[in-house]
Amino acid sequence: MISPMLFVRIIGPKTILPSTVANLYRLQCLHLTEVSQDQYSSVRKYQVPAELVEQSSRERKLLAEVNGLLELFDLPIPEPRIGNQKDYSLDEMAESLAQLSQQVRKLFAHKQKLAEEADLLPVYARKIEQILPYLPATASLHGYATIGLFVRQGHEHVSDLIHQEINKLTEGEVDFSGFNLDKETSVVLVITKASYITRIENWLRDENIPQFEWPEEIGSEQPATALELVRSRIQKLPAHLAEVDAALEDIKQSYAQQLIDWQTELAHRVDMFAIYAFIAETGSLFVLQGWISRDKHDEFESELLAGSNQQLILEWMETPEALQSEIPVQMENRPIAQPFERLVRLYANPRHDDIDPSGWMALFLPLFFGMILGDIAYGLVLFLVTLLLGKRMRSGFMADIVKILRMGSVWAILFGFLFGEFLGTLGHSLGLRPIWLDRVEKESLMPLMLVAIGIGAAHMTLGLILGVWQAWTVKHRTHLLERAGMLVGLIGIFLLVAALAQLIPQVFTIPAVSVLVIGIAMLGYSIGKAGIIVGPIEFIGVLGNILSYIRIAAVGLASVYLAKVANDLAGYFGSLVVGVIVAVLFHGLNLVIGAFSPSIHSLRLMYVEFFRKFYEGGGKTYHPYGLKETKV
Amino acid sequence: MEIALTAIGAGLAIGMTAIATSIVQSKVGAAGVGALVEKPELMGPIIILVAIPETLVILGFAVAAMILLG
Repeated sequence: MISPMLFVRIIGPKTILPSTVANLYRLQCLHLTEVSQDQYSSVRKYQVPAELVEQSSRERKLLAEVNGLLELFDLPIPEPRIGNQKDYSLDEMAESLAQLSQQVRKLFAHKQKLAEEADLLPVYARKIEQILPYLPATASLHGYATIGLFVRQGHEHVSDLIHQEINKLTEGEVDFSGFNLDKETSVVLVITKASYITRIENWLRDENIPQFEWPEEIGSEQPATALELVRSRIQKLPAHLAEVDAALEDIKQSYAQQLIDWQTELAHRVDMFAIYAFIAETGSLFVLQGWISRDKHDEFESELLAGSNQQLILEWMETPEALQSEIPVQMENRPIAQPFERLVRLYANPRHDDIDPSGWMALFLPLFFGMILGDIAYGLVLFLVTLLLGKRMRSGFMADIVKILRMGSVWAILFGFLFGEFLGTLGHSLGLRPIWLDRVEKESLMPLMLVAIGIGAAHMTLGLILGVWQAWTVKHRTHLLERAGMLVGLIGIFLLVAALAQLIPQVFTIPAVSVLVIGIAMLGYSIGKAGIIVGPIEFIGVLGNILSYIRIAAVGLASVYLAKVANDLAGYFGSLVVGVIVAVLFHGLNLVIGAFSPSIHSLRLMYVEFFRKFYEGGGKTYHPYGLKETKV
Repeated sequence: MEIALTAIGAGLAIGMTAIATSIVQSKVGAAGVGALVEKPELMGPIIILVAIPETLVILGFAVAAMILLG
């Protein structure tokens, strides 16, 4: 059912606003709505003090910083929870956080640099090893340096030009060497006095001639020394990385709890600030308004008044006309119907004046599912699987689906006995006999379809009765006429069919047609001028809805025939092992289809056929001010 | 001959409606997935839109059953 909501306006002196905000946050039951200026000409939107805005902005930044650190340390961002709030000073928190952040970022930057070195140094080492055999003796003299240039093979004239130009730049004090790096590229090594290097490099840059790039630490060294340096560095890298990791782990161990506490506290503060967008004020008073669930009324009122030394005024009233569409909705159902609330919301959030269909769904959805699947073995397997899954999944969408499938599996077992099915037709071989009818028999098809249509007719009638009731309670004349018209028309059809089938005396035929015509006329009238044409078409749509329930028979038959195919195919092979493997594969496939297809079809019958007769949807979910997940 | 024609008739009744349903569902489904990416809250209405054409094949099944059962 939909929990009734009470509208309340809270008025109090601005001096107690902070404590009131804290109390409302703690109580977690007021769904806020903005105070419109039209309602009170003397009130205006609350001007949040600049220092409070600045404080909130700092808190957001700090929260982002804490979340960043938690992510860096691979610590989970804690679930929001009330209580355990600590009175941290924002300045102290900011200072400690800045120090910690600087330390951590420095270590992470160092770690990243070491990781890059671990990638690059072996590459440099290989390059130097390639170069070394081609270096002349002058390369190792003090005051000499080497430059390596890339030249594409087949462009030897370029190499000659480079030689000439570098000869000019170094006044002939240069040695050249070189080797083929690969099939396409040659390397020219230029060995000259270190004083010429800048001049040569400038010229190379101007001419866009690529050269070997070296890290700064080894770039100024002789190649042989550089190679030793690189090798020594590569050897030391793992130890350096381990040191940095150990330092980070130390920090993580020391600050993990502190970070989580800061996160919780800052998330609370950021969440709490959200209320200021809803507050209105006069010269010395503040005004807040919203809805609370009726069962929270007493606790809410007493706690809030006690927390303010009776300085607050709580004005309980009817929701103003302008806010009717804003009334939030909270569904409250027995545990058995709770998993279906999510499916109802998947269709549309209920409105405050809607009938909550979760309970009806809890009755019909598993019933339809079980009737379609209708197999003892499949039902048992599904029951056991959902039982196991249910132990792992305690909450969330999938947990609800598992619960719904478990309910459906119980119905499937029951219908399995009624249809005498155990792995399809295998039950017959084991001596299992149907209590009601055998779906494989040709003669069963018509009764099965008629039962499905009968269920559809009953379901549609129930939907229309609920629709009439809903329209009556909200005093919606058009909906009332439309749904009542459909209902009356359906009653006319039922009477007509009963009279034609001689279930009731044939004298009822004329009255039945009259009732049908009255129903269609009511339906047409509710539509308006076009009703004379659209009314009958709409009514045919209702009959189409009823015929749609034939899917209960049709999809069920598909399932039982697939199971029969699995059994027959397994028997063809003549080998027990192969037969069992084939049977397991086919029955496994059928079970997966059997869990999926009946769910979708049952859901469709609920959404398309049933809901549309009484359910409006489009309401707002009840989100009380208080704890919620904050991601910054 | 009569049995063969009856079987063909029943097959056509369910086969043609199944093809028609699949064509419509493929179009509605593709558009629905596109809409869901933009607005996940449209899940309910999209399931309905995708499910509506199924009535065709269900009616095809009913007709096929009537043909076979005489």
